[in-house]
Amino acid sequence: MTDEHNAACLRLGLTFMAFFDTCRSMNFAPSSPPKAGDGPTVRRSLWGADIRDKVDRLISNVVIFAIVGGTLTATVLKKEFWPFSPFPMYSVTEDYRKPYYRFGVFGLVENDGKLTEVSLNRSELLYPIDRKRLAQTLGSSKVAYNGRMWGAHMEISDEFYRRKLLGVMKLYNRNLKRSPDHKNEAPLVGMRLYMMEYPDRLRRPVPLRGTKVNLIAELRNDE
Amino acid sequence: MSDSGALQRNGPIRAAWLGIRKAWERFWYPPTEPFDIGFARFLFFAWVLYSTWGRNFVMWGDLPIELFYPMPYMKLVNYQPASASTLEILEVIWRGSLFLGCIGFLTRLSALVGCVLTMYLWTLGFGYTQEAHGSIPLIFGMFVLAASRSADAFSVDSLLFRSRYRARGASPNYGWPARVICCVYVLMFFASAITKLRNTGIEWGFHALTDIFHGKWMGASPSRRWALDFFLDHFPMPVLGMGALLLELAAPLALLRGIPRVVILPLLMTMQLGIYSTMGLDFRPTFALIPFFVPWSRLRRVLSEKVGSVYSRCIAMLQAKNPSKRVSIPPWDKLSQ
Repeated sequence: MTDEHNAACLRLGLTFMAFFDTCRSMNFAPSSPPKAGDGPTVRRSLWGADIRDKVDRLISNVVIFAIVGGTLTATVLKKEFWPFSPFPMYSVTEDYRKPYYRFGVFGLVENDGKLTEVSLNRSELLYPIDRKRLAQTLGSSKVAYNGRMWGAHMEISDEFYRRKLLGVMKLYNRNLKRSPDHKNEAPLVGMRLYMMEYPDRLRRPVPLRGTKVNLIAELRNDE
Repeated sequence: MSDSGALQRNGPIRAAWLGIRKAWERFWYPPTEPFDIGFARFLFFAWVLYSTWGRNFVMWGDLPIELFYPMPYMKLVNYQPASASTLEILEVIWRGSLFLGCIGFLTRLSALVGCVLTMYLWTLGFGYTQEAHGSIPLIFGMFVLAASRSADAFSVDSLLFRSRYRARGASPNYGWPARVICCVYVLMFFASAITKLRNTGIEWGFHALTDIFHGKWMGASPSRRWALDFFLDHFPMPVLGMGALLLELAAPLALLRGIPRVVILPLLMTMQLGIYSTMGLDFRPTFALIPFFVPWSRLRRVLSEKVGSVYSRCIAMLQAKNPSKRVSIPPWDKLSQ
């Protein structure tokens, strides 16, 4: 760094300080209230009060149009332009007396050369993805409600499932490595995603068990 | 073409335009005391800070990128998930901005930072799971406060920068932010009701609540299962469901002062608390918008008058009991000043 460079920086700094000081003195009057006998005072401002009021009014009208107009448009079009939303939560429901379908997520563990399925739906090794979030990340709402509520933006495809299952497997194995309580457990070598059928929700006190009806996606570590 | 002819033809259009403009001004810009918006701003940020205290955004840091699926707006702004250490810093800045917004120091900047960070931090989890809607009213609320003069009263700014943040009595500039925020709150319910009607129809009211409660029962904790059982076994669910739908449809009436607001607002809040206790969906942070419905200066005046009259009666009673001891007690208006 040369002295010339330092001097140039100093000059630039002083110019900025002078500019900000001018702005400050034009915008902010002294904080003491006016005394009696001071006579009428003219408030100095960069723009003048009337122009500032007009700009304020313009900004407020734009904000009103944007927020209210955006929400009403999303409602009329029934489409999510987050943060403008038609608030579609629970607008579609499933009849509790009929069978229903949910994802079943299973990890593949290798024991003595044999692959075994481990249910991951309630696994604590997927933190912070719990049972509910696991279904959400796999786009269960989009599938169950045909995109009429959550996850409408998700484009569900084989690639989507493979990518998500890979993410779930990586998360599980990473948490497994870090967890001292699960030292003896084997890491996952693959994943399977099933569609499970549950009979109905009528028998409330009885814990329901689903049956695997369809293998949707499979992922192996060596792929 | 003569000038008078053009004027005659433009007359009705101009009159209609002026009428619309007048109605627009009357609705969106009611003259309001600066204390109303200042005190509501204080309560808004205080409640957001309190109700989100336990919220942990850091847990979304360092997750496998394969799990991240951006929402459309995230693609638009090139949203990138941050690391856990960055999130920790952002969370501190976010809470700091909420606190500064609460006390009204650098209010516009604090509200803007709060708005941007609420949008960033809150939606990060949606990228890993699916979108939710509880944060939308807070984002809009903070944005409106950043764009308005909400710090002209009841703020540190109004004490430090008196000329810029000088309260000039009742003004439309203090009315519109509260009006927009109230609209955001009621639109949330109204839009939800319209979507229910369009997606399912009026029958939503008759069966949806039973379906939802049975569905929620599956993954509920024991205490929540008890609450769900209690509702399912002891309450007429179609009546509750239809009541909820009608209440959501009637939510815009809360914009009218007086009885509609006094009836509808508590019912909406009760419904949100009911949703929380049974379904576990936490909409409590949205209560932060409620203070903008309250005319605080009028309430302050009325309370002051009531307290003043009680005070005078007490003094009169005391002096009547001990007529020999004449104590000089200042009148209430001097005390309250």
